[in-house]
Amino acid sequence: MTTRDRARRIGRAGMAVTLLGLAGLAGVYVRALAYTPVERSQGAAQKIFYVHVPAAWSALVAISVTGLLSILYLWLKDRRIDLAAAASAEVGVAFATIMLTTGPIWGKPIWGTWWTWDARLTSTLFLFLLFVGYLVLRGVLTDPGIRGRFSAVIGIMGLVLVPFIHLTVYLFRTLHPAPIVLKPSAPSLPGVMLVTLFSSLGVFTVLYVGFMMQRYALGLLRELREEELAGAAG
Amino acid sequence: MRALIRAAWHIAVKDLAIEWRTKTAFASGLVFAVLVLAVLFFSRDPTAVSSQDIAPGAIWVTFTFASMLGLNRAFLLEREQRALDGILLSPAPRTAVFWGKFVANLAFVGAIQAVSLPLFVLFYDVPIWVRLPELVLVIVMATVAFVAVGTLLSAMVVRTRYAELMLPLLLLPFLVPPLVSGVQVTARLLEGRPLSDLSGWLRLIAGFDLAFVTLAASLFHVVLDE
Amino acid sequence: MVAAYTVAATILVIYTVSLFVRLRAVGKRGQDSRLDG
Repeated sequence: MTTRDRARRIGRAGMAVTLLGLAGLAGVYVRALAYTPVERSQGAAQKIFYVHVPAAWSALVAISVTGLLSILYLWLKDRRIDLAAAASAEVGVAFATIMLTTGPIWGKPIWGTWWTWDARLTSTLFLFLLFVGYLVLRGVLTDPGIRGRFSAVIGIMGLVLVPFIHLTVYLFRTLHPAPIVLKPSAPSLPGVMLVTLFSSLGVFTVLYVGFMMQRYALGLLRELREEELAGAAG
Repeated sequence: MRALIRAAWHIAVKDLAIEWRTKTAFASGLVFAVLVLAVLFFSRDPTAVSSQDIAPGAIWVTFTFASMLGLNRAFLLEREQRALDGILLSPAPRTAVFWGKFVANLAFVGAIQAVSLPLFVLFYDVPIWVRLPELVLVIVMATVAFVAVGTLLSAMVVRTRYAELMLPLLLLPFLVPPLVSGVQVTARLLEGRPLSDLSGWLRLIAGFDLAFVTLAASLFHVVLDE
Repeated sequence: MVAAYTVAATILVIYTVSLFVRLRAVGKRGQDSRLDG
């Protein structure tokens, strides 16, 4: 089987996984909206939690994968690792976007403002900007070797940066507390809500994997085609 | 080790000597500092916002831009002269290039800061003299962070077509922890709070410096290798 | 709140479609090559 065939297979399998994930998402939506009780203090708006938190989780997974694969790439120099790292970055942008859009929609009825500079939202915002910078850098670098190495540097530094940003905002917040302290942390949730949350986390993980497989396949196929074109021209 | 320090020193001195000859970047940095300080001063309602309130933000925005100016200048020079090739051909160890550039950038930015600070005191009427040592400490710590990451990133973007655009884009997220810490500590110092109140922020910058100076120095060779 | 669910689902669907379209595009123009992995 050629590399190209293998890439196509991964792409198709990825699409299957993604569709599975989307189906699961529909199930979670039904469960969250119809079968999960409304939370007392925040009301219906709290239900965004079941989408907002898993999206943030997926974005965090994405940067971790990009960062770890970046380290691996600098060590092993296998271009497939670079392609996977880049795939994770793009997928991360999608999930970060979800987190950043659902956050304000959740926030407005509860805090009275669209944006609060709380630790999680702010960290995700800069994570988003980091991803975008990473992808833009890849866009302007044409040589695959240089592109891989430079992206890896950003990937590693980005991974180390995220906890620092979180800490910065946390420190800021302990001195300037947010109007209402958000309390939907997992342990204090009743069972039925926990199940919804974990189902959603599972679905979002499946979606992450499906997207990753497809984006990786796309990157590999593109590079193969470029090589082919370069070979034909040269 | 001696060779490393000597090579780094030579690179730093060379960079600063080149800048000293023309002083264009330094002059631009100064003009910029005055402009930023002035604009921020005039952009508020003086009856509603005291100059002391916006002072910390104003001086740190100035420092941040001064740092970016210094970083741009550093590698623009290399690109124009293709001097980087010469350095790479030399037997100087790769990390020497990082440390040399790092020190040169630090010196450049430090020079701009040294002149901006008195201007800042003049324009904003802030009582910094009594807290000067602590203020200098936090300024140094935060600038080390800007310059370490910036030196690495500017080496990276110099070969791209949109270097002037890419540097701020990539650098911005990394500026958040040191910048916020710097502003917060400055604000509290000016309010008269003791240093012990600020231990959280100071530890944050210290940790950041440790992590990112190490990372930048270790990863620099990746950016230089052909 | 329903708005948020809609936004999230829309983003996910758009991304899925974008991946699909891009994979199709690269698949069409590429031919089977003798590159072995």
